Amino acid sequence: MADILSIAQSGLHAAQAGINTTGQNIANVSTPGYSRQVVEQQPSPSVQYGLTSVGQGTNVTGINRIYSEFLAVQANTARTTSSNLATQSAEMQPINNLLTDSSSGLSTAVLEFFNKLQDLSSKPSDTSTRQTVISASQNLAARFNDAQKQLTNVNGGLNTQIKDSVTKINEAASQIASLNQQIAVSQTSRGGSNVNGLLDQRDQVVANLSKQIKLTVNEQDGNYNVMIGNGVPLVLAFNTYKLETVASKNDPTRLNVTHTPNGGAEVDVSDVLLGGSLGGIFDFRKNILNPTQNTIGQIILAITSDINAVNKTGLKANGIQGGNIFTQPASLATPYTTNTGSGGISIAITNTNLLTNSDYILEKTGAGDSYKLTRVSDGVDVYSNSALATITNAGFSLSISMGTVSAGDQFLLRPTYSGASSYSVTATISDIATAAVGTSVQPDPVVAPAPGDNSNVLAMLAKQTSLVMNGGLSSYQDTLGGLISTVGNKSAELKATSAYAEQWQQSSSIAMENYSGINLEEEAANLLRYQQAYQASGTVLQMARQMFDSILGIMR
Amino acid sequence: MRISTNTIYQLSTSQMTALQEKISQTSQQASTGKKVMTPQDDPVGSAKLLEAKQAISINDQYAVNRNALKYTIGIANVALNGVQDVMQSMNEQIVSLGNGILNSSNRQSIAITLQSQLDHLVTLSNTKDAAGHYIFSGYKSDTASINASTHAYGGDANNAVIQVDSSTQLGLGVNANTMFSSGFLAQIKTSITALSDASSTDAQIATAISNLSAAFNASQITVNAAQVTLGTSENRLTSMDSIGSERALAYKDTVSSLEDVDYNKVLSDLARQQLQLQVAQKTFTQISNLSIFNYIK
Repeated sequence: MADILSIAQSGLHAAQAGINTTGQNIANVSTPGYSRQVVEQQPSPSVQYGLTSVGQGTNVTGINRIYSEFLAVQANTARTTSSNLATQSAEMQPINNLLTDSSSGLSTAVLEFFNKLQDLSSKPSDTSTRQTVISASQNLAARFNDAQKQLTNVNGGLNTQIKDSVTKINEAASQIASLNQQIAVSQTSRGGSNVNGLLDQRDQVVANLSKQIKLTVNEQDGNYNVMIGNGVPLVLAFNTYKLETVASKNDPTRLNVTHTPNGGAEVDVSDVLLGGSLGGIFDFRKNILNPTQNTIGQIILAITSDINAVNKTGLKANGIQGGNIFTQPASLATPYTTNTGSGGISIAITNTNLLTNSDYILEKTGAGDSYKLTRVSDGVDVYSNSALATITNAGFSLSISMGTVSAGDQFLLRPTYSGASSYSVTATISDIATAAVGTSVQPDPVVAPAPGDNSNVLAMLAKQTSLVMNGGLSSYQDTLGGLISTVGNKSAELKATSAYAEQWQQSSSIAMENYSGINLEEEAANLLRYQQAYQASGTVLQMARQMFDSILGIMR
Repeated sequence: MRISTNTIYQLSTSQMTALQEKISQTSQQASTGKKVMTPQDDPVGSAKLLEAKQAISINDQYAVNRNALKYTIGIANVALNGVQDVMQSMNEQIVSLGNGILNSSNRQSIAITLQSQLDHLVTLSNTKDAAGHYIFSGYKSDTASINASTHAYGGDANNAVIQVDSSTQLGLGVNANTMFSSGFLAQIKTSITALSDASSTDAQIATAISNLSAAFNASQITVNAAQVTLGTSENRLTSMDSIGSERALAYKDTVSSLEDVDYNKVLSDLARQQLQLQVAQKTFTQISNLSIFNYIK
């Protein structure tokens, strides 16, 4: 008789556990990262009962979470890819808008400048026409300066995002290490008590981390060991190895990320932190922002250098040789912070037709006058062991501007990136040299040219449609058009691939959600099922009691 | 297949968000009338658009340059027509001088007429444009083309050309030196002096008349040639104008085909997208009302 009572009681227990678990599931229907839980029941071992054996009721052996590591890895991978592409696509927008001519007016400014020169060719001595040329040249410089400024702002925004992302990654690292510890403690101290909530939390932190950076998780003794990017250890059991943001060693305007491994020295890991939004920012900065900024610099450098050069081969109204119309910012040559020598390098642009939109790295290769020049865009060593003065093929010449350069010292050369300074026009209407003399040597004696002489203006105009850039392959407008289609194509490609990745991410998250998430209909049915099981076990209990009562009645 | 409740909500909302984004894009196209908004929307089209707009701008500028040259040619034509009129009257004087029955006073009165005609020719040669530049002086637009006392050419031999077409540079092509045969104006002055001098011998007068006549005939040819030069330039400019406006039309067609929307398509897209959104909204509200919990009492 006691058997039937305990059987009924175990049924009541089990049904109650079921109702509780169902309630917990329903309560967490909207909790991110929550995995549904189910009650695991087993029949109690049976005991010998006469010739046969009868079961002893039921046992709740555990409350398990329904979770698939395989689906989680899939979802995280998709999340990393999607967030990487979405970040790049979003960063692309300011550049995309900048190159929509109605907003920046780069192309219009170039056209206007040459149109005003055309007007000047009809009236070379007319002061108001000269004034419109000066205004158009000021506008040209201003539009390109503006574009550079906007791109510099984009770079500033990237720095903020890098900091933000690194903070998030470090926070996640702390949380994972701390959850590793909590899970280990709960499992040992409470004899494998229900740690489902903690496991869900830890997986959710990993899922959020996978938005920031590519990661791999290895589970070892119940702990998550997390590697990010290309094998940078972030969490090992209860320990974290955090990231730090530092100014790049060759460009103080850019933040990079360093990492200090266990017992090791701090290293710059910016190049190996791939994937996720952080990897996306680095990709974007290197592959899109930098070349765009350089190409815009390359175009204005070519126009201003060419016009200055032509103006110098002409005579002003007073018979004096012309000078610069545009003042150009100096090209940047930044010594690495790791250099041992005190030397500085200065760049002089010698031939804008030979310039590319790439940066260069200059390295002193030995004790003597020997240098290596590497083109960053494709990693080609343009010069391997050459005297500094012989480096001329890239459109610029180099000289030591100060101090001494030691062997192994490196410099980042950015001939076309001129965002740090700005173009300006200090020339006035009398500085335009309209009459050509075809040489930059001042004629002696000084003779004022005829006022109707427009020959030098025609020489300036000839530059507009000539192929004077990229080794004689393109005109100014061709280069600008090329930039627009490159950026447009890249931007459209990112938009498409990020939309595709977003779908992939959604469907893999949905696959995981469909497996682990709550279905309220199912829970409602379970609620009814457990309620009925509870009622049925109650009925069994009541019946046992009636049987007990009737036996007591017989005894009476 | 098992579906979680969250999935149902997620799918519905992401579908409705996507539809809303589409509607926003389509309605932006409908309100601006422009297809290409940024290079991303049409990379190839954007580069082509830039090219076409550049072509339009340069084409327009050539038209401006042509108008500037046509203006100068116009002024030059007026001057040359004046020169032709003077030359015609001068011809009458020279013919009457050739009659040989003129006395000294007749010759003096002809000399006076010739002097005023010479002055008139000098004035016409020194024609200026609206900005005060001598148009027949080559590059030396600040110097009188013909010196009023020496009758020498004050300009230079340069022809100030401007770009009037993608492949053509053209200038006035006429100056006061090429307009008249060499020494014509000085010869008139020399002949006038001889004619008005009562002490001139018959032989001297005969020489003065024949030299004048020869120089006149030679200049008749150069003046005609100058007019032909101007006329030819004018014709070339006119034909470039019509080519230029045809090009402008073609470029504008290109621009329009690249950036203007097809309203029929945009409006029908908009209607379809709105309908899709309405259906999605209705379905969502109906599905979210379905639940066993409605029946557990």
